[in-house]
Amino acid sequence: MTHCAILPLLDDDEREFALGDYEGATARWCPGCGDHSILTAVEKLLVAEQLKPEQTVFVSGIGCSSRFPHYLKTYGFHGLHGRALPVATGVKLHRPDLDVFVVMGDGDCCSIGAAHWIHAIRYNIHMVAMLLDNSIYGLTKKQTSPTTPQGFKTNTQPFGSFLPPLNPLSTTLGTTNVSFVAQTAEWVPAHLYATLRAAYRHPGFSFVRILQRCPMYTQGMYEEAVKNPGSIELLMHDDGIVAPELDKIYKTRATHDPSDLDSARRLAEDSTRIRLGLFYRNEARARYDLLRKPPKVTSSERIALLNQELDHYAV
Amino acid sequence: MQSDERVVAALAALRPRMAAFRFAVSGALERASSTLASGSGSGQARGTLGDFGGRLIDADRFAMISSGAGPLDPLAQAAVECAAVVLETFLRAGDEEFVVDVSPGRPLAAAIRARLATLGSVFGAATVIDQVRRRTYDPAQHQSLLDGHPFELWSAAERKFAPPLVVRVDGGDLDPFELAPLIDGWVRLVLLVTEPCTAAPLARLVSPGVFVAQAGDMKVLERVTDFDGPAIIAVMSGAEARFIHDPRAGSAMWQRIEVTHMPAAQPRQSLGARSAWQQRDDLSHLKALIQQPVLAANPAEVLVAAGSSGSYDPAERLTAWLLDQSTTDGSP
Amino acid sequence: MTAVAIPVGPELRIAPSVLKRPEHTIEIVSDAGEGAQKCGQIFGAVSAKMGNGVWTVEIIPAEIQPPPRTAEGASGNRIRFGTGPITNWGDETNLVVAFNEQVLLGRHRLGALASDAIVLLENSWASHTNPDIRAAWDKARSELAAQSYRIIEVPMEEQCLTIDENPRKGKNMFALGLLAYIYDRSLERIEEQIAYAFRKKSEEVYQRNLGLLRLGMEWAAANLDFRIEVPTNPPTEALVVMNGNEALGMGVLASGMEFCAMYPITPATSVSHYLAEVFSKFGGILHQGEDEIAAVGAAIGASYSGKVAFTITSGPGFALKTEFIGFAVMTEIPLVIIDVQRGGPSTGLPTKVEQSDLLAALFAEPGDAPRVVIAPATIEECFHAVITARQIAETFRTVVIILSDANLSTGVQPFPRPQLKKEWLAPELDLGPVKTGQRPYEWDARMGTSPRSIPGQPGGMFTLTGLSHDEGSKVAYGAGVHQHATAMRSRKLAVLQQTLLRPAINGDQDGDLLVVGWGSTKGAIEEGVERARAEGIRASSIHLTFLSPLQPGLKEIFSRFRKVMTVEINYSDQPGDPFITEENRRRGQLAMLLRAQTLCDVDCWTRVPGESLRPGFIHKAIRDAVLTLTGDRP
Repeated sequence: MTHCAILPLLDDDEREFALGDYEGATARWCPGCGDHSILTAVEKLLVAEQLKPEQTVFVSGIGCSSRFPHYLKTYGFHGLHGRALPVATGVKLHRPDLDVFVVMGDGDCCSIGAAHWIHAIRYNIHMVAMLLDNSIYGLTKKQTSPTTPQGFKTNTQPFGSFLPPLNPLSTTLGTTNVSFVAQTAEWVPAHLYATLRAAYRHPGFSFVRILQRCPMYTQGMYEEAVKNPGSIELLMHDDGIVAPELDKIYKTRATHDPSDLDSARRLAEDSTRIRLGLFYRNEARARYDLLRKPPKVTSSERIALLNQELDHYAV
Repeated sequence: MQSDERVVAALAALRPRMAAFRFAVSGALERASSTLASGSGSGQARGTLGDFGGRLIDADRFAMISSGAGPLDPLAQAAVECAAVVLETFLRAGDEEFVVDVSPGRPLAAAIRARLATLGSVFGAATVIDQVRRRTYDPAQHQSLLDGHPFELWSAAERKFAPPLVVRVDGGDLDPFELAPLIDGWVRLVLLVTEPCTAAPLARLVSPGVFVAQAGDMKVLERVTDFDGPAIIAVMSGAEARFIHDPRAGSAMWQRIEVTHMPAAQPRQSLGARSAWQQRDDLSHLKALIQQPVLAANPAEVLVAAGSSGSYDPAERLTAWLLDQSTTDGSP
Repeated sequence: MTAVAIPVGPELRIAPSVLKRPEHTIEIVSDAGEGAQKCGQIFGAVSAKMGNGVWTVEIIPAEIQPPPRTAEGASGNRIRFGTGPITNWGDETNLVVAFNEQVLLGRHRLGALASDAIVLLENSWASHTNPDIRAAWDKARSELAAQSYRIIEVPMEEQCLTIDENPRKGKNMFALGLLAYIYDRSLERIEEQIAYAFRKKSEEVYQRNLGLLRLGMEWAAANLDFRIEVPTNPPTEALVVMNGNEALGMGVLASGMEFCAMYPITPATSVSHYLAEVFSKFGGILHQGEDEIAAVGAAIGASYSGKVAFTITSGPGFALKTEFIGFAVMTEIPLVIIDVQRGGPSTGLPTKVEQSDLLAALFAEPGDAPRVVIAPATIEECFHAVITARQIAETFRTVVIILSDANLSTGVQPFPRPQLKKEWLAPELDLGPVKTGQRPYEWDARMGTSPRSIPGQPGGMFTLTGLSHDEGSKVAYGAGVHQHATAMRSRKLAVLQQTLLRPAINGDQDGDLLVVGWGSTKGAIEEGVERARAEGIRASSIHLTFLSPLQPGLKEIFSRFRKVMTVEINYSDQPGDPFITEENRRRGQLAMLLRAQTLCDVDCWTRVPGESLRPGFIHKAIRDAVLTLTGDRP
């Protein structure tokens, strides 16, 4: 690889990246944790899209899933609990040339960082936001999260979670300027990969909720869904998530046009079954990052402009 | 440079690219200045700290922390100074740096190459500065970079950042085969053609990744502003063919090429080095490019069927369809 | 420069007496929204341009639209101007223009007015149709009669109605006309300023304002028997005049920083107002985050991936940003934080000055989180401090906090026009490959400094983490690693301290009392010291600009004085108050810091009046301290 001396942002494309170019430290999640298969799908995406490791930034918060960046050999930002999205916002606004991925857990995104979540949807800055939703606080050992099912016993609500869980899909779909919402599950790798690929290719803020099993604290939560693929409904559309590998196993299907927001909201609101697929995509939404693109200014121009400014205040 | 409305219009259309190029050059020049200043230690620290820091902070001591790599050796310093002169010279010159006038009868490509080599010296200068900053400057290897940097030696990254050129040329001197080796990276060649010209000189340059157009006005230039690849455009005023080949418009040739005008008469006379037959063959080539393949009785149906394979990229659908045909009955 | 021609007409009865003064302090007060501030700003700017030393401060009610005609609602400007340089807002007001008697009463009750102040008071209220208002007028007049003010009633509304049907919108320019006549201000300069102030309005608005201005001047010429001359000293060098927040914003532009994320908070927001207008021209982005935390988070994200970024806030916002500040320290992301302090704790006094964030700036953080804290003392320093802050943040991969305050943010003062330099600007990003084998925290074992790699640089990929980490940014909980890494982050402060110069002593190099100040109080302290010295008191002062690390030589300087006393706008227990003993007394924030760092018995004189300290009060505090020292109790 040679980089361009005159414009260090440019280099040539002659490198080819293999899986090993993206692999970081050995993942230390529990055996059977859904994070492993998400990591695998992400690595597969990086190879398929040939993303340059130095041009790619994974931003996370705090939680089991937020260790994600450590296990990749890109730039990684393992930040504060709930605050991945503001950091990613700053990265992408200042450096639009970078590819930005955000990895959050359900506590991270839907509880302590909920304000940032709502606003990140509205900003619609080009990045992929993955909600790794295992419906529990795992790192701190089994406390109720906003997506914990009602009645599920945890260490902070030992007689069962008091309230119905927050629905991340409805929340996202209900937010102004939403542009991409999909749901997938870590135990359906082909769907997971196809979803992440569609998310990456969407020019805007792609929100992907990934249903995830926690072998330590929520054993059995998705047992039925895993054992009986027919219980899962795949949302099908030519413009949706297309994973032909699933044709033979996942036969419960519904046609849903991802440009239909009302239908997306109805499907998201209905909690009688698990739905995987693309709920909504709209490439025409306003993008804050495009609206906030300042010109490039040389130092001589800066000095000249600042002198003009000072003229206004001159005595 | 004599004033020419077409040159002015072409330069206006290429303005964003020229500005980006100039911005990069001035960035390299700033790196040269800061490299030279960093060799001077405390003076540099005093400068960067500003008046406030200057009153409160011992610049010599601060420089010990911030200078990092230490002073430059005299050869490296001289090389950066020379590189800075190259960059300043370019920045002081006006838009004429981006305009090439080819005298009638002279080889077109040679004129373009000469200009690219001159402009390429700013790449060479930036490389020299970069090497000095990394303390990897080697006079034997890098000094010649400042004496012009021919296109053949440009790296892929440099070709991706090639400066745009507006070229005024007689139609008779427009030999497409000469230009082929210059089409790479982000090269932009806008040829302002003086009549007479052959009917479809650029048809031969159409290939999947290249934006090629023969146009009657400058409007087509807007389309290449964001195009990520090389582009060659001839602006003509005679009866020549008018067409646009835009690689983004589809994956099959017939989808990408749009012909808006074909000359009524077949060429009968040679022009410049091109014989009449060669000119007719140019036109035949262009016609061949726009032929749609006959796929099936109802191609739309086939495309929809192929859609179930998961792709809505026409090329992938077509490939899927072809594969499908070959596996089922062995013939398309 | 054309001086105002005194209109000559049949109504001009007597030639006015001209009172010559080395300096004068005036106020223009009104209900909020009546434009007194615009009048004051123009007067201040014109005076500066004519060659007076000027300090302008805003008089701000805490609410945006307080009820009209209330003592608490007084809004406007105080302008202190003189023949020589003016470094602070002074003591008491010599002349006040009041748009109603209630706002005047507000200023009177605060003790803002000199006992012999001249008052130009709008008198339409005396004959108002509402009997309650007439009663309030009478009551106020009798309260005001307790002082020997010279109150001149002015029919402002009646006059303005001759030009504009809405006198509420015109009184400020009429008032400016009164002042222009009294102080013989340049009409040309005023017209220039009005044109600039109303540049976004129509020509008609501009002309109407000029008409009102002339009307005020004519009324004054016809009815006032005095004028006041504060001689001007035309400036010998190019000057600019602006407030501290504008200076901070321009400093940002001069520093080459390109990313600011903020959340609105008084009194810091006006920095963003300024930047919002111009920043994008300079290649910058001003991002208004969804909250204070998001703002600092976005600034950190930008800084991590490129040029040093910054955020702007005030006390309550600073509190919210605390976790992220610790994160930036831990991960060594350079960051500049501008904290324009206000009264606290909690929501406190949003619009009023206080210097109460010092210890929070230094220490507010769980764990050990050393950062650099600097405090500009003047509006000029607000400009230049930003440039230095960016450079220190980058050099040391650290957080730099700039402590300004509401006194600087709204104060307007002329200062030498900065001679801009390219070296001040943050260099363009160098995204070339990272040196082979370079680790993310390759600490220089002596200095703690290390080069940083930023996204885009090939070979530099690493995962940054707020967890305890080693040189390779690998999470490491081992005792040895944490000890070493913590030492490396702390060492950078010691190294910076070694590059700092000793503070200069204002006054004699030794003596009875050394006053130590920081931040915006510099002018008032030095004026107080000067007055004391004029009485033969052996007092000097130093002003600390670096609060973390502290400048060197303090202990030695302190040893040359019999007593060291800080003067600060923050709370300390008063000796002699119930239960307060030498042992339990809580002292001013700088005093606490200096006692801890120097083991010297540093005393303090601090107040939290919600306004700048008056030099007269400081003068008295100095006198009292020295008299106590010499055993001659006051």
